[in-house]
Amino acid sequence: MYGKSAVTKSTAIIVVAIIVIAAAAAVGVFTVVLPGAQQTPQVSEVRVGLVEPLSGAYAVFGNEAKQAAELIAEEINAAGGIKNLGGAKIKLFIEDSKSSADGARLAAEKLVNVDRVNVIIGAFISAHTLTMLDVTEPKKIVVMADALVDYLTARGFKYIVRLPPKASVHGATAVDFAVGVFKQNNLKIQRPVIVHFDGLFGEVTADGIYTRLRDLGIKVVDRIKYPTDITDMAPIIERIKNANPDIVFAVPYYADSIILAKAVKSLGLKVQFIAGAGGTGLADPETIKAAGDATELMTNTYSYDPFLPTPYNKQLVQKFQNKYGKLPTEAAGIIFYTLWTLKEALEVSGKNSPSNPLDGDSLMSALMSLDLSSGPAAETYPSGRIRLAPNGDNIYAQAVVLQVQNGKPVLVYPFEKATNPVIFPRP
Amino acid sequence: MVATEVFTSFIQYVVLGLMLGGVYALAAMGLALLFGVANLINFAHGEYIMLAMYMTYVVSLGLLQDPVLSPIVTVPVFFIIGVLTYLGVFKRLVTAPPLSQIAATVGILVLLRNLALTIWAAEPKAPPYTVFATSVSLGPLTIPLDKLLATVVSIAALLVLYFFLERSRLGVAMRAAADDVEAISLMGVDTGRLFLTTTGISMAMVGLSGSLIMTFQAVTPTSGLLFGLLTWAIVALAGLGTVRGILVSAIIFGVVDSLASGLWDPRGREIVLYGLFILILWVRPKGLFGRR
Amino acid sequence: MEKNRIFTAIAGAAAAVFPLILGLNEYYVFLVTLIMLYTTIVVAWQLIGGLGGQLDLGAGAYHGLGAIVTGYLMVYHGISGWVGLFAGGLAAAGVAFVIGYPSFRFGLREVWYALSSLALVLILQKIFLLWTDVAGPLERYIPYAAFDPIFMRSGYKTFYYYITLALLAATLALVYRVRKNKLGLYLQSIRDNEEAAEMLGVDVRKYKLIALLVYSFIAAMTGGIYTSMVGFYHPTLFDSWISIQTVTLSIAGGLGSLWGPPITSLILLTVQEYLRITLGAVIIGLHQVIFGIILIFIILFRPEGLGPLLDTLSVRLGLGSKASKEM
Repeated sequence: MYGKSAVTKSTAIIVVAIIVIAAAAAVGVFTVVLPGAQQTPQVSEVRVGLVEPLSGAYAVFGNEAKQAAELIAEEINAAGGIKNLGGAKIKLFIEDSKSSADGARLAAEKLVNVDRVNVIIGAFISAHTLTMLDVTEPKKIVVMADALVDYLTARGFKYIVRLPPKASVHGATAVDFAVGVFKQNNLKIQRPVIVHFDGLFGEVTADGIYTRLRDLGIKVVDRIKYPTDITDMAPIIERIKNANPDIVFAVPYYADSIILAKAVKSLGLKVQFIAGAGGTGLADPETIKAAGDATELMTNTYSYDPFLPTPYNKQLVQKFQNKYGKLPTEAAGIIFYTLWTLKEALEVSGKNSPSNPLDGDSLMSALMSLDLSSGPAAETYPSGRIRLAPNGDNIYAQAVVLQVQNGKPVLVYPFEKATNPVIFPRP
Repeated sequence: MVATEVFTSFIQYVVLGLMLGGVYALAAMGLALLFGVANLINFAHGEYIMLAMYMTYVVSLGLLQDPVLSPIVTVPVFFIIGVLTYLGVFKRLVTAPPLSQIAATVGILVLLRNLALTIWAAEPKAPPYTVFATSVSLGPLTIPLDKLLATVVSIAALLVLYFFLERSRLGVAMRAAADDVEAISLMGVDTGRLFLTTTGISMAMVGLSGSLIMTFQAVTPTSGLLFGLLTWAIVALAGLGTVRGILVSAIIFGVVDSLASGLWDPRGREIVLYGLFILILWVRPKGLFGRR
Repeated sequence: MEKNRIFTAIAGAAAAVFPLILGLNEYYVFLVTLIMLYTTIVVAWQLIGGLGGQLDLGAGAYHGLGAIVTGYLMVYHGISGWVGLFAGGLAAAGVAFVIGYPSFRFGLREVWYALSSLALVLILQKIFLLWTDVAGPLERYIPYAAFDPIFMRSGYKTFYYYITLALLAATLALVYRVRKNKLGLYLQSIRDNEEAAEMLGVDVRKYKLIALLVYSFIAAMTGGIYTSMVGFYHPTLFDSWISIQTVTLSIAGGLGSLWGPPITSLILLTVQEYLRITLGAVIIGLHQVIFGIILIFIILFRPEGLGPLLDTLSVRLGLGSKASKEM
């Protein structure tokens, strides 16, 4: 603090510290930033990232997707992995999106920058999937979406594909089904009411329902929106009653579907039919368990048909039930055919682009070249055929309808494939 | 819609609101008691209500089936929880500055909320049906029996409390403490024991109201925050003091709640409720000043 | 004093090249920037909480409001994020005034401000959920740009790191100055004995309001930076957890100390992130439970927080005299 020696001492400390810091920075730059430019010379494994809501409001779906992914990855690897990549195995990197858009984005950041995955499957919730694209598009990481909103393939994103039918198709399917059921009973739909949660997915699916009804010349009496985190549906039921509908179309997520079903029962809502759309809630095993017999006779549309009678599907469903004790529905089903399609694409890419098979462009062109009508991917898909349009959607997308009969979901639509006839109307 | 239909809807919502008010009054009373008598700021009051709701859920699933029966369990259990909380935390806080009370009870808030999240996850939980899950028609109005029952029981409990405060020795001591703690301690009242009992009673009421609320609503880990702010707002409007004041204040909030979510939007509910609270701060803060 | 400068110089140098040390890994730089954003709020909170003696639970509201305003201007009007930060700050200060003005009346109990600031988080969230022209329940996405410094948008997190670093440094400097100048003295006199201050003619309400407005402005700026960094905004950004986190870290760090809160914040947040990465979805909400326990513990047993501990430590290291730490 006084005298020359003290000044030199503190200067020395500063100089030493700066040298140390600069060295650390240099190490950081040279070991991590630069080598990132090199490609991995040999493909020994395919790193597949999975972003799903494993905690939070949508954990029910995320956990089912995770179970399905682990099952399929194990099957693929046990059968020898990807043959055209020298038997490379699939390695899953599973991240929790925590049921939030921030969480999904963070998960994508980690998968892309730390785990260095080659492709990402996720994120089940459409709004979360969109945030991931901010991270994946610039780095050309392919996203195979298990989320349904139309936007995902309509905004000009280059590295995204989506195999399940999109949200508007779900909505239209619910309408076609309902119209068919009414017709079977010599009736016509005249007073439909749409009720949906106000998130992105709820809106788009409800739009799908609305548009289809409109195209069929049927006027919607009321369209009711409710907050996703609603806890008391009494006012909603009140409003539905006031509209005096002959059919209610509902687009819930999971928790709200339970509350809706219970409220319908406890408040004694009388309507001829309640048809869900969107694949989440109302007619899946978890919801049935939670809501008890309140869900009886309700239906929902699904991107996957657990009763599809192809040999592989039957065997897979049995295996899933044995291992996890429940019937696979929406979340698991989408993962089934998505992962198998990825496998097919990897085989093609391995053959066509042997020098950089896992590169985003190679993978995308491989995916686009696929036309599957046999094999595990096609055998688990409702329409039995997978072929991608330029925007990433499946040209042969199809949704099915399940109805809760005696506490179990059964297939009721398409009518030709139904395992059981529809029970109509509600008592 | 025809004019009479609109009018009927309006009355329907008001009636629903009156019923809600009764239940909210019970929920807020525990807070008012603690704040008034022991001068203790419990920021986690809402979380205790949430805990009571979860306990109702667990008890109904396991033993009792009908949530209407759950107060048999929740009321005594929560009395004990109140005693334990007092001995563990509140005892030290009673003499601490208000900021410390707020900070510590915020800690309890966080603890309870996240324990709930860890144990029961984020989806709403609701118990199996109460036998009262039907409604009766009163002319053009539909009266849900579950809400009606909850209101009747709440008001009965408030009446019991009222007589307790007026007639019993302990009750009188509590009212005296609300006026002047130093004076009664000088007169030989064991304030420690008094506060202990007050906390116990406060929590017992929380237990009861939590059970009653569960007969018609689901619970999530964020329910605590909602009920916490609501009950504090009711106390703010009532300006402390009487059971009647709390009842009136709670009914006002209940009716506003029902009208907002019915006529406007369910999301508008919170805006209106807390907006009302802030309005009270601006316009009528009489009860909100400290003892001077 | 000399050693204080050495310490600051070294810390500053390390902070300046930290992204390089991290190898410019987007993920890690992202995490560090987040931690620094939240630490900035904690430091700013010292104005209203540490000095002003109010238990503000509004951090989530101000941060969220800054995010929504900045995001909205960027998405729907193509207005640069820099302007957005400023606009967001003004909006937050305005809203803070609405609850601060009635609550800071002389004699009004502290609990009412605490409650209304917490209520603000929820009110704003619901307002923006309903206000579909600006936000609504659907996420709004900011157009992607690899590097557009004028618009304040970049795909590289390092860009945001430096903006945040600048804000954090500025906030630290601000709090340091305020502690020493007239405003700081007034605030402390109010905090120590409001009645006496009032009787001595100190305008209690005015000074609390000044502290509140500055703090809310800064908190809003952190929100604007956040939303530009993640590329979208949604009313769930109004999160009461941010409020609680800020309060817990500030109290743990010690209400009177300058360095206590930021250092505690940096350390605890880093630990939190580390636990989140390793334990992940194993036990949801665990780290928050821990925060709750920390808060209760500190209030009951060590209300001065870690601040004094750090001060003693720095005195031992010869970084300053004890007297200068006391506040």
